[in-house]
Amino acid sequence: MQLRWSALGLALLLILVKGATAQQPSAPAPPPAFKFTDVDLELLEKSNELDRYMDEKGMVYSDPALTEYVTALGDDLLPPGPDPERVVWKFHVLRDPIPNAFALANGSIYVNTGLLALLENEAQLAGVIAHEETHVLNRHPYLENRSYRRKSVAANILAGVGAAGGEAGGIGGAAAVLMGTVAPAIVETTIYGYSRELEKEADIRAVAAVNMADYSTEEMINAFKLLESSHEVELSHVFYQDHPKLDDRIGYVSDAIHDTRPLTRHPMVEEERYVAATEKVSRDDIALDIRAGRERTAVAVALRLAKQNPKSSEDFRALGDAFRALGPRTPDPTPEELSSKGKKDARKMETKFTDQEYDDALMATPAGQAAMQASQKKSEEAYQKAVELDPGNAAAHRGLGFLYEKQRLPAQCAGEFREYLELAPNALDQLQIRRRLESAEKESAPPVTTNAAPSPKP
Amino acid sequence: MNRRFAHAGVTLLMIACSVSLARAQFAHPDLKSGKIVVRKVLILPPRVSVTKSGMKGNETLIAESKMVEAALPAIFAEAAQEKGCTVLDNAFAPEALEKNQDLKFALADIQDRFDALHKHISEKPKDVRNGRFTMGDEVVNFNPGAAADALVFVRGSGVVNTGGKKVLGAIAGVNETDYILVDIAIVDSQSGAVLYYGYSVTGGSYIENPERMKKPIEASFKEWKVGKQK
Repeated sequence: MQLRWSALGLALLLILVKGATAQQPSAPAPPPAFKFTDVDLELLEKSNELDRYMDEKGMVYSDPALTEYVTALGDDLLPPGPDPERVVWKFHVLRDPIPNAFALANGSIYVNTGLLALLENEAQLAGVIAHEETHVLNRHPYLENRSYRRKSVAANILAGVGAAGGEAGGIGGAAAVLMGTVAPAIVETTIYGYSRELEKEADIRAVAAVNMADYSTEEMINAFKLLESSHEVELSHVFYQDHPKLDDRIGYVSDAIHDTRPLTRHPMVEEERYVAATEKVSRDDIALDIRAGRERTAVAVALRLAKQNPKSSEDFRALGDAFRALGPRTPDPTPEELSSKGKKDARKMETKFTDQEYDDALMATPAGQAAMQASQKKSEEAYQKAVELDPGNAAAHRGLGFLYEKQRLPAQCAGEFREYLELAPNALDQLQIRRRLESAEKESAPPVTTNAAPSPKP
Repeated sequence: MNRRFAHAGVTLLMIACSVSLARAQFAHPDLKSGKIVVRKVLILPPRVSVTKSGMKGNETLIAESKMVEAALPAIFAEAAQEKGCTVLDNAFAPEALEKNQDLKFALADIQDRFDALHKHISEKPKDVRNGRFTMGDEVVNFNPGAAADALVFVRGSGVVNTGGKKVLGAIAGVNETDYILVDIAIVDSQSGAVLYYGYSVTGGSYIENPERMKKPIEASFKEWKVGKQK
């Protein structure tokens, strides 16, 4: 009996010890050793070139305070100890409204302005950055590149063998092929992601890294849910928006979070700090959304900013711009637009029509005209709120000028452009606005009537 | 067998002679009729992608792409000046862009806007003759373009085949000549309308000898009439 109780006690003790050690927060496993080949060094050089190229082409968002914020967060998530061989950590924000992030083999990590505008707090951003850091630490770009090159060699040999038995290509056909040239592996992984195994590895390690930095791991799931939502009729998906992959990720990341004990009782979320740090980039992203034909996302981001900052004249100006760009569309897609037929029609329209033609086609419908009226009304209200908060907001007057010009109200248009030029006499676009002002003044001038005496009768 | 050797022979001959090939051009009706007159143009920095096509796959050659980007404005400028057009000074030197981030971003944005339209133009270039394409407000609000009658957008897609690829091509009877396709669009800086679109293909060593692109580009702008200076 005594022996049985002792055995039972020992067994209970063992169970308790095992349970406790399984839930202890632990640092992520160190990356495996890596041996560089010539192919890898080529990719490294290409990564360095890409960094320079993207900066030269104006793709990198320039805001030292924001870059410092993202860099500080990125540094917090890194494992202790020296950096891996041939990695120099650099964190950049990319001027791109699509919610996405990617890492290059050399340690450069890019987060799109669209992603920053979408996320709600620092913990969510930490999850994304930790994921990208894992790709670099575990040398995923090199592994994927090696795999891509092996497949390409096989494809080339097969193509050569196939062509020998059939018609020759010819330079005309090759030109068409060029247009659809396969993107190099480095670009493909940035858009579509790595293999499932490597992405899962990155996610699981990110949970541990986020936890060790004392951020809430639950926010990683919330970030995935945000990425699943969209205000647009999405016709293609980058990795961070691919729904089947997101569902998969939510599943195994939830399991990993469940098995991880938080470092402290109240891990950080840091919503206020994040909102303050990303207000300007979110506002600037609105213009990028508009340019990319994502007007609905622009409106959604602008509405959120205006709600968060009710005293910000600039945020209301951006809201005015967003509604003006929305034009003949509803703020959210209709159920018909989101149906399979709707998406098929949208794809057809996208390939067939330019943006202007697409807008004109919408304006030809009663629904489009009603949506345009509603958008213009909201745009005017937002601009007027901006001016009320700050009468010196030149850009808001400019926006009103464009709005009234579109509505064929030349007198009001001229008034706003005049105000704009008075407030910003050295504006870079003053020549163009002056031309539009002259045109509006001409249109709004009263017709000239003459009181000539009637000619005498013969 | 004879046919395969004939194909290989033509391929090798073309590689040897580096023939310059196809070109086409399309003018807006108002430009053709003289209703719109273009006397001063501003050339925006070209966007060129040169791809190395090899046995191990394709990859973009950034350094070579930049070399062609640097060469193209001078080639087009010479062609435009020979027609009597004034080409405004380049406001987009790398040093200028580095100092002025707003200019850098404005340039990037208008280039992206053109690329979105370009995919439609290149699919149906004949529609330029119907006055179909316009960049709208984006161009009108592009401040550096204020002094010009028109903006010039230049796009290039080049292929450089590795030795291995060329040999494989010759054996298979497939043409693997190096070549570049250059598109040039002239856009009204006031209305945003695409006034002229021309494209040309140059075969051969266009990277080592960018001058090879001059004749095809000139030929693709044969029909462009520049208005008389006042």
